Amino acid sequence: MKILLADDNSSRARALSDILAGDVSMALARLKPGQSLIDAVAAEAPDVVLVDISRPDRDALDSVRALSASGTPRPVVLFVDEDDADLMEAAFEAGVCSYNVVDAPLKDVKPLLRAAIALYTRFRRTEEELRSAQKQLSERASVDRAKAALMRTKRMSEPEAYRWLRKRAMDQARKIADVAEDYLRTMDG
Amino acid sequence: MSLFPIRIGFLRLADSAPVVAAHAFGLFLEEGIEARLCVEPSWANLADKLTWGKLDAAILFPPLALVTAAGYRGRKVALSLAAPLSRGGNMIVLRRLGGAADDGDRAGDLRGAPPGDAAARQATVSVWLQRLGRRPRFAVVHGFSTHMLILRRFLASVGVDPVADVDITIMPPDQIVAAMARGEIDGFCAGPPWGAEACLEGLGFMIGGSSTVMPRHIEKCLVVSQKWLAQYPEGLGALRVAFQRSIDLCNAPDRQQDIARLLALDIGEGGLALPFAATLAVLPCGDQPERMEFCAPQTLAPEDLAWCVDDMQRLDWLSNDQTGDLLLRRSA
Repeated sequence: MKILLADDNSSRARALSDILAGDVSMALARLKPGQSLIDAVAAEAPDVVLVDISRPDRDALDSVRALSASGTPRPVVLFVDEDDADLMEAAFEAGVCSYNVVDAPLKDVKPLLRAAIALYTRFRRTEEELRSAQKQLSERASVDRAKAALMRTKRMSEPEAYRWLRKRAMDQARKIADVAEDYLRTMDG
Repeated sequence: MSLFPIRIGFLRLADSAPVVAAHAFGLFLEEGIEARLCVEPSWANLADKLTWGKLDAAILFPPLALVTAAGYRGRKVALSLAAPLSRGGNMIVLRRLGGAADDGDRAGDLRGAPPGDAAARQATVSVWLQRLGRRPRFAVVHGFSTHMLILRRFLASVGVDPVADVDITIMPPDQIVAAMARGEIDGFCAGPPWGAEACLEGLGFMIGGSSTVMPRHIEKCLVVSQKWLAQYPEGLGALRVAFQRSIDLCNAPDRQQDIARLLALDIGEGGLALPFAATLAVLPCGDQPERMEFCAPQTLAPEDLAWCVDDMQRLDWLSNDQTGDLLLRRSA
């Protein structure tokens, strides 16, 4: 398991680094000074990113947010010193998949990291399914709206309107949903 | 209208046209079918996803559907061959070895027919083998495929032992042309349009295919899980109507350009990112001998599968009591 550690130089980050360094199954990379999280992820290709912030500092979340929006998102585990409910919400929204308040010395982080990776994989799959379902819904809605517009403006019956859209899709060799959206745009303009 | 949600998997192939066109042109929706199309990377992915319930249906060739239903490659899953979609279209291509005139006049010219009779084909293959000067490496698209059966029959017909004389490797169809370009394979049997593409690119020349080995054999079929059929008893009729209409469209002479253009679109735009010229050449009105044919999705007769069931039993992929009935029974 390859871990990328981004820390603000707290003593716990050093302790973490010691724990991980003692385990051959763990490869540890650290964020270099001035390096952005996205660049470090691109360079190291870690399995998981561990962000350790000593204060409820939201600046660190910006880099997580940027990573989540990038083409190479990764599971991100967050360690903080003090619990802060608002920070927790913001962290999840930014794409953190595991929020941990750590106020005692750490013994083992492996189970925690593994759980975070598993959770993240599940989450990504669900998100992917949701996106695909939403796209399908919006495609159907476009076809329905274009049909309604044709029935209204051209006094077509519903089957006529559908056939009109379908013929256009075939003639242009494009998806009927795209043709419907085009038609709705010309109506708007 | 009640909707029948269905997840249909298939590969980047020109004979996936009926499902792609039905989706793009709204033929599914019109029959109340809410299809989610899944373009998969390999045949094994399709079979596994059917087995584990991640797909409700797939476009498969009969051998893979049969072994998947028989549980030969994992857990058994009850499948039904809902409709045959296409006949023929598989092409056997040999790599151009360059230089000499013996394959030069044919090579790269897709329109040049393969050597007319068995004797001429055998002569071409034996010259090609001599010039290659080593054991040839062929690719087929899956271990349990019509392509494997056709390639084996072809090799045997030209006096080449498909086990002792050649290596056969497995590769997803859309990677075969690149593999031939890199010189990793010396020949292949693959579905449309990849054989035509290799010829048009000047990488290989056609030596045979479906039409020389088993003319008009059933190739791609819509295979649906019995679980889905039980859940949506009205769904099968709706699916067949949508596919029938799409097939009529894919066969229509005045729609060939449109179908090829659709298949050439990127996947995100509703196509399959297929090469346009090669795809147009292998559509039903195309101009070369290994073009495919889309068939009417009427009920399939067991005789249509007899040749591949025979071969599969001989190769021990199926036991002697396992036949096309595995896919043609009405219930599990």
